[in-house]
Amino acid sequence: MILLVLFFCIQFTSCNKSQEKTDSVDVYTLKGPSAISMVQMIDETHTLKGKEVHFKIKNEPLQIRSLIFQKKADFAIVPTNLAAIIHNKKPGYQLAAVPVWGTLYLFGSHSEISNWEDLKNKRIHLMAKGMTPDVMFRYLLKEHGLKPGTDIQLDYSFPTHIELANAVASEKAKMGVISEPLVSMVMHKNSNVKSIMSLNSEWKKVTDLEIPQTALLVNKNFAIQNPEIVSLFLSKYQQSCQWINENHEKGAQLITKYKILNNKGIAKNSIPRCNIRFEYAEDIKPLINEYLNTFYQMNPNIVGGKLPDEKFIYKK
Amino acid sequence: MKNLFTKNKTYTFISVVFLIILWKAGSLMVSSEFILPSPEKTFFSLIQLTTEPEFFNTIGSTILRGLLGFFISFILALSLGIFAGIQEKFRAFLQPLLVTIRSTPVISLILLALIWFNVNQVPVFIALLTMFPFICTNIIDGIRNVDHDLIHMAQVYRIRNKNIIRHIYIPAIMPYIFSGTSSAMGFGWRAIIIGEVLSQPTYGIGTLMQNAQTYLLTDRLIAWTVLAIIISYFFDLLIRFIEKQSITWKQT
Repeated sequence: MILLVLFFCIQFTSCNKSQEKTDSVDVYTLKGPSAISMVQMIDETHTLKGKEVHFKIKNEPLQIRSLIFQKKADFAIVPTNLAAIIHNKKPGYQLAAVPVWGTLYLFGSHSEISNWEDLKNKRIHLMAKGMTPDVMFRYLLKEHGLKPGTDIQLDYSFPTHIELANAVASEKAKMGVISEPLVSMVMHKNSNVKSIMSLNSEWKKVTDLEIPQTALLVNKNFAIQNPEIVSLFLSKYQQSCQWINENHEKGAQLITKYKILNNKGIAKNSIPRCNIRFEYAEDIKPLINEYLNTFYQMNPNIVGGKLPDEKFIYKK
Repeated sequence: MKNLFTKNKTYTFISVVFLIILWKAGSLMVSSEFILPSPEKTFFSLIQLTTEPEFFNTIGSTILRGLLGFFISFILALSLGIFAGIQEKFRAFLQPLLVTIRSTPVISLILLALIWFNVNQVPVFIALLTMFPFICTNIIDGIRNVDHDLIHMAQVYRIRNKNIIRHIYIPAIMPYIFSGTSSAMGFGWRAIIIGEVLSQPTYGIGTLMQNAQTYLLTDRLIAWTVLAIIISYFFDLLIRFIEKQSITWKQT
């Protein structure tokens, strides 16, 4: 009862707040490759067509998910499967571009392991059950005939990227699946830790496809009202993605300036491993569909119960 | 007396119906299945959950963890509690420990347990630490409230120690044990599920709750919550039933 009353109070207050949203362009990105891909834009783009642009870097996809539901974000970065879940549950955001293409690695201090057969009877740490790293790794296990629970132990006791990275660095976790740039960071901290497999290339071997891992979403209403800002934003973002691949040195400086990483050397090493490449979603529709379909075949809930319809993709 | 009882039951019934109507009204107002699903949709998800192949493994694992944690903490609390109840010095020694454990936020215990133990042990450890202080404190209070004149008298009449324990101590601390157990269990189930959400064992209500949250399956999340409430309520009834039985046993 109290819970319900509380629920309504919070609902109403939050509704009021979202109506008061200021006249700025609010961009939410994720700490990691997505923030790195945007870093030049963060540094240079302060206004678009007279509107102030605010970039905010968040740690966890679920933080951005709630900002999307509150309609506080005009642009937002989330994993592509989460983008599909959001579209299927509460339409209102569209997939505009894919900037990051597979940054996950199996790594750890078990140096003797080199192929899937070696993983038998080992314990592997994953974070955030049900999110991209988990489902992607489970898919690869299945394809290689390894059954979680019997052939291999999956452990979720370190719930976030950062906790898992620290656990691998301290060798409390012998092996884990994690994204760049944390892989580079941990390998720098502890020289026993080696990258064992790139999930990206393993995925390519099995499916013959690349991984459109990260999605840039745009608020549909915002896009209808401000089509020019959206197209300008997208072209600036495309430039930012190209720039970082060509300017590792300067890029590393910006990465530390915006506190995405705190070490220039690590930042520089990690840029090429972040697999940054800007593609308009409209141009790679079949690839996105196939990617989501792979997850859908595993468990429809991973993409929100059904494959997203046409309206999921933003048209330039 | 009987009339009053049924009257109270009517009010309980009205309260439950009122809650469901409020819920239904809320879900109509929000009109989004994933923010607040309707009571009937949640009810169907609940039924569907029970037909899934992993249902009994899930429920069973959570209950087993709870019971394991409970029995360990009960035995520990009983032995330490009785000793502390009799020995004032030991009580003074134990008191800070009990206060510390009781005041530690559950989430700190879980975060530490995630570092110290493996995934399946975490919820048990949490259950143990959250339940232990409740039961132990109650047992200490029970022992201290035993009628000292009565014991003195029994000693004067040279009644054997075994019989003093059986006929004076045990009946006196029984109500304290039951009330301690009841509140410990209420707290314990909640703590176990938090532990499961964070440690993600293969089977467990918390594991599936987290899963439902990630995929925005709000109806399933609420359905699991309802099941958790039912489990907690069932054990509360069980404790009261045993309490009643033991009182009738005492009177005969």
